[in-house]
Amino acid sequence: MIRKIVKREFDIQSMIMAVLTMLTVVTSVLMGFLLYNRYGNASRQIELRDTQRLLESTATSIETYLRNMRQIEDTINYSVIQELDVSDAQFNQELSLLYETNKDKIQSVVLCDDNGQLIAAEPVIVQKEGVDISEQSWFRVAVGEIENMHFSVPHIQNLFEDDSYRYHRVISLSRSVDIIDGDKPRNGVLLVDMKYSNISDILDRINRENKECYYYLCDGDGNIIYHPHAMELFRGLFEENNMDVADYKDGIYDDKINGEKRKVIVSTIPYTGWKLVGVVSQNAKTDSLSRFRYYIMSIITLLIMMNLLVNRIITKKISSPILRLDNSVKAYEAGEKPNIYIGGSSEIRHLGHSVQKSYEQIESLMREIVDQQNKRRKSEIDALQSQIHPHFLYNTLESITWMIEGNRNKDAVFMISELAKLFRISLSKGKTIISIEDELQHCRSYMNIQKYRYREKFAVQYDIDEELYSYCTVKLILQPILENAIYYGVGDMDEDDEPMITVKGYREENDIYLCVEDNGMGMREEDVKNILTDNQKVPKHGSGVGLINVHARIQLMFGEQYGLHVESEADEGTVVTIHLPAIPFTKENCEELEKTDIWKG
Amino acid sequence: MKKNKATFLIVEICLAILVVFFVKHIFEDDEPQKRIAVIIDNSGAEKWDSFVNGLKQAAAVENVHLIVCNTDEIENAEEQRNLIREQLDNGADAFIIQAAPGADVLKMLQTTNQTKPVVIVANDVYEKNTDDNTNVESGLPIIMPDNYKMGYQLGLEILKQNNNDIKGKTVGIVSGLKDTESAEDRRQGLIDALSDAGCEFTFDIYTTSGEDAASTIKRYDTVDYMAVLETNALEQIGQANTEDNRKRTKVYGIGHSMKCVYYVDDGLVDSLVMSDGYDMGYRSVVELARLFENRFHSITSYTTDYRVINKDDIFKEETQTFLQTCE
Repeated sequence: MIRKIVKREFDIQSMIMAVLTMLTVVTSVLMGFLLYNRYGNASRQIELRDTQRLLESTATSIETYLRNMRQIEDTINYSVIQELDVSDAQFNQELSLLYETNKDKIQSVVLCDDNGQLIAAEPVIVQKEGVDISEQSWFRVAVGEIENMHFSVPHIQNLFEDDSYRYHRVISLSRSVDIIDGDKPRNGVLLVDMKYSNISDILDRINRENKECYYYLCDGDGNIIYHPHAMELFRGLFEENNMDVADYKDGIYDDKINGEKRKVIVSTIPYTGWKLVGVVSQNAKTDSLSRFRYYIMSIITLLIMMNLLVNRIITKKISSPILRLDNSVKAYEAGEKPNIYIGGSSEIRHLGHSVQKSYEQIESLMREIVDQQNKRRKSEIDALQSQIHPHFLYNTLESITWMIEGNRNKDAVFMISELAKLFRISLSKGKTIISIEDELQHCRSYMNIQKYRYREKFAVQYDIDEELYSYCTVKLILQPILENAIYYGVGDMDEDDEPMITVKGYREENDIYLCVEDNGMGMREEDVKNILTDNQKVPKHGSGVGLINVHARIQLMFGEQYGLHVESEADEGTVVTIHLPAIPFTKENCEELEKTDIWKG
Repeated sequence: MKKNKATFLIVEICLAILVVFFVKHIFEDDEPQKRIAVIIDNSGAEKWDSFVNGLKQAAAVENVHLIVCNTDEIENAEEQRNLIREQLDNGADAFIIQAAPGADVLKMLQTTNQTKPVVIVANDVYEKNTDDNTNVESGLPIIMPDNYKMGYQLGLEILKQNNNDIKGKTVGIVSGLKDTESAEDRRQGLIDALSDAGCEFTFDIYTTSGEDAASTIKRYDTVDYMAVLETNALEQIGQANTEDNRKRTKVYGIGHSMKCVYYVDDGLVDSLVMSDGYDMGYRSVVELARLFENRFHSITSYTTDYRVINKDDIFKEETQTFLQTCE
């Protein structure tokens, strides 16, 4: 198929168009691809930057919130616990006041001793039965590291009864504190249970606002504190590299999960060591990117459309003069005679001029050659015609001489008179075309002369339709046939056999037929076949001008469909038929025929 | 030459069509979200919290619009048919339906499924074969827990917590609405689990709409163990147990609310079998979203998991994560 296409010949317009179209399409597509890629990268960069900015501001919000929590705990510790006796009524009042001020952020405030016994709590509610505070993780870390505040991961609070049968998800902030209990100072643990919803609300909000990326929060060990797909993570419907991220410092990292490339932006929240992580998928196509893709595609398609149009106009402008020149040359080659196209750019015009000039020169040369050929042929015909005279003239003059010597002056006069007619018609003022009447006269003169010479050994009969007299013929066509009829037909016959030559003439539609019949010895079939084609095999007598010459002259003048037709049968005789076109013998026709290119047949 | 011109024109027309296509995409509004209507019995009940959370999360991920129909108890096929019609008029593209009780629901849901895709949740359609009394295959995609297994698991929990020795003990069974597949299957699972235990079933009752299960059981003799197989009934009986200081009856139940969990924590309910409602909601939306994306997608039925919750397990990390879906 490809080979076929490659082998196929394309015109110049198609080739220029194809090349320009290919260049246009490749350039446009490449340009579109580069633009799209550049825009995609830029928009990803912007998205990444926006994500990072949002991440940092969110980290700041969380940090502020957590700092606030620490400040509340500090206030409780330094302003209440370290200042007031736990048994003092003011202690509970101060604790209650602080709780009430911050209860939108705090689920509860608990103070217990280092054995896990509850000392004070806000709000004041019933402790659940069977709950061992000392076993709870927030208590154990506070006792274990007394110098620090400790943030737990989110968990369900398991301390107090709830009348509404609800559990509260909290993040516990605990620390070891010194309690004033009468005279003896004791160690204890202060717990501030922060409402998890405060953290989750912040992160829910930024996750709702950004559909192209998501944010999650984990602690320094990678334990998830908040994740928008936490439930899916738990059920294995979602995967996260939170354990790896825990080791990352702040910055942007490449990440891959299930073959999906992502950018992970990490921001560490001071003091807690929590990591706020933003995840931006690199595979996902955003709405704006998708619209931009269509935008680029429509621009590129429009560009291709316009370029195709321009290409076509340019192609046409370039190729049209070449094609028109080509078409005129082709028409010339096909035999028409159009003017060679000369137009378009100067180069094409120059080419047209050159081709035109070449053709004109060729035509001129052709005409010269044809003229030369015509002249040559004419001179050949003239030479053929002139061959009649010497032999015949010699014999006739000899016959006249004998007549004069034999005092047959009357016969001699007749002979000379006939000879004069013969020559008058032979010459015909140098014309080739004469009337059939003149040709018959020439024929009669010739036969009268021959009959004298052959002493009336044969009879001659004329059966010519007089209508034919006024039609054209090539001169001296009957005489060579009659000469052959005498020499090969009746010339050597006994008078008892009644030798006879009959000259007939008739017309059939637009054709004229002149026949010379003899009842002589006839010819062999082989001779009949060769008589008009091979003059080497036909013996020549008489004037030396054979039937071939007559045949050739007629065909040269009137065309190949005309000429001689020979029928002969041994001992029966021969019929030679001359076929001529019926052209009236008028001055115009004669002039026309005389001018006729003899090569036209 | 003429051929070239025709080719050129055809190419230009094709490109023009492409341009129109692209421009249409640039200016067209975002494709409207597909709407999924959720028809569940008593939709505001706490037992659906995790299910609805699952629905919402999946709807956000899959970008579909969720319509949770505000319903009271749906007692028969007619009520459900009216709700479906209402949502069809609202332009719902698919349905997530908890089949209503009764034998004539199947045909109604199958008819709905012919126009809009339907996913059955929570319980299968109740229609028994007349020959062998087995459930008729609905042919609809069903996403729900294995109710029989949950009932059976509850029976095993009763045995386990009583050292496999309940011989001669009395057991009362409180099932959900009669003629629902879930109630029948859970009950059958429980009975099968306890069939060789030598216990005596003192009562075996079904809840009815608008009736307080705690009041109903007062009409029967006090039993040693009570198996409550439906969330509302369990909440009511748990509540009654709070007020009953004797707490002689050990209550075991199947329930899907934090209140039920709280009763376990409080010791009012001894053991709880809780199905993963979040998973049920999440998967049903995801399956329908897949169907919206590819209409040749075939929704396959799925059996969701369940979890046994005892007092000691509630504050374990794994249980807490599981319970987070109910908040």
